[in-house]
Amino acid sequence: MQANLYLAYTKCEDFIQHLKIDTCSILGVDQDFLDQCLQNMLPTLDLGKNFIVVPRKILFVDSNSVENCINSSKRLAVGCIPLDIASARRLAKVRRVLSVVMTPKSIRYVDEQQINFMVQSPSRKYVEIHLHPFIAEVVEEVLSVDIEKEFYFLGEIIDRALKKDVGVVISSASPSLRETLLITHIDLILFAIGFSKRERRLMLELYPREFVYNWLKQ
Amino acid sequence: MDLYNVLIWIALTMSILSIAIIILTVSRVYRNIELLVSELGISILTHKRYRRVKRYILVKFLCFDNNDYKTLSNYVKNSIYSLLGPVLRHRCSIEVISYRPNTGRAIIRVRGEAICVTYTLLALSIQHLKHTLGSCIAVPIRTSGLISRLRNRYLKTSR
Repeated sequence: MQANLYLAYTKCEDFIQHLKIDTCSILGVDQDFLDQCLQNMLPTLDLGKNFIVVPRKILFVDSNSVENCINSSKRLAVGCIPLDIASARRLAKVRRVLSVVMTPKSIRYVDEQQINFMVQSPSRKYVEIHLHPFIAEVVEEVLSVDIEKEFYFLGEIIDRALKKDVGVVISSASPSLRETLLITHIDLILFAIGFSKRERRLMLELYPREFVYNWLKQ
Repeated sequence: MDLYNVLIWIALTMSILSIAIIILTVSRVYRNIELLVSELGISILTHKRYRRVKRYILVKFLCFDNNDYKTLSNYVKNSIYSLLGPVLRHRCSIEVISYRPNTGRAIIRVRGEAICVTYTLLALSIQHLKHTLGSCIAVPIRTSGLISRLRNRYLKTSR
């Protein structure tokens, strides 16, 4: 049961098409997006397979807005993108099940120290990697960014989190179907970074499932 | 009794000496053999610069426009080579050897160094993110060294 816990789609057609072509069974989309269109479309949809749609909310947080993100975790499976060290540390210490999202913008704040804080957290914490922004930098050939350094750092952080048994969840975070990353693509990218089959299974199956289970239990 | 003790000591000293000589000889012989093998290895390797492999990748294409074999072949080559870059292009050869437009399945042949296969798979996975290239999402299904192993999945009628 593979999972892609965040798709940043804005069109219903894209999401329906994604359900048809992808093999994963657990998918996460933005809560507002789910309210707007999927409640009307999902009952009429017959794909011949079962799947779980998780309502998500991804928020950028700094030291002023961190409480919003924490409060939202009661109703939704929240992912918080820290924009400073203070908010990242606060997210690690809070007694809620949530994910700390790693994107090129937050990569500086989700470091080894952050993983150590997350290990000591009173409730289970997850590092969520949004892969699309990283791959977009590679494809668009952004020269101002040291992509090799970013991917090295990404690999190191995932490695450290797996060693310390902090949950790592990989999401595509694709904004549209034309830029989507299916579960096969994510698996191949992780393979190219250098993760073993066992590690990839942990990140694509076990930890996402555990995240959803812990969030529902909360 | 004294003579007996002396004999024991002589025997003990000689056995220790013989062990030391054996250890020294073995290590020297081992070092020489190692040098010989490495010399021989280098001379063998100079004839072949790298090991060339051939792999077949079964890929499912989800295209937003209708494509025939020639269009898709050009599209695949163009997208992969543009992502790999000119440096890797002279090391990796990519060819679409078969395509079924009704199911969207194709078999791609990759020839070159072993790393070419990984790079091609990676390029196939991310090529649709580059807007200038086109509009096909490629989903790699299976990689094999023998084309016959891919036949059943390739001939599958359902999309």
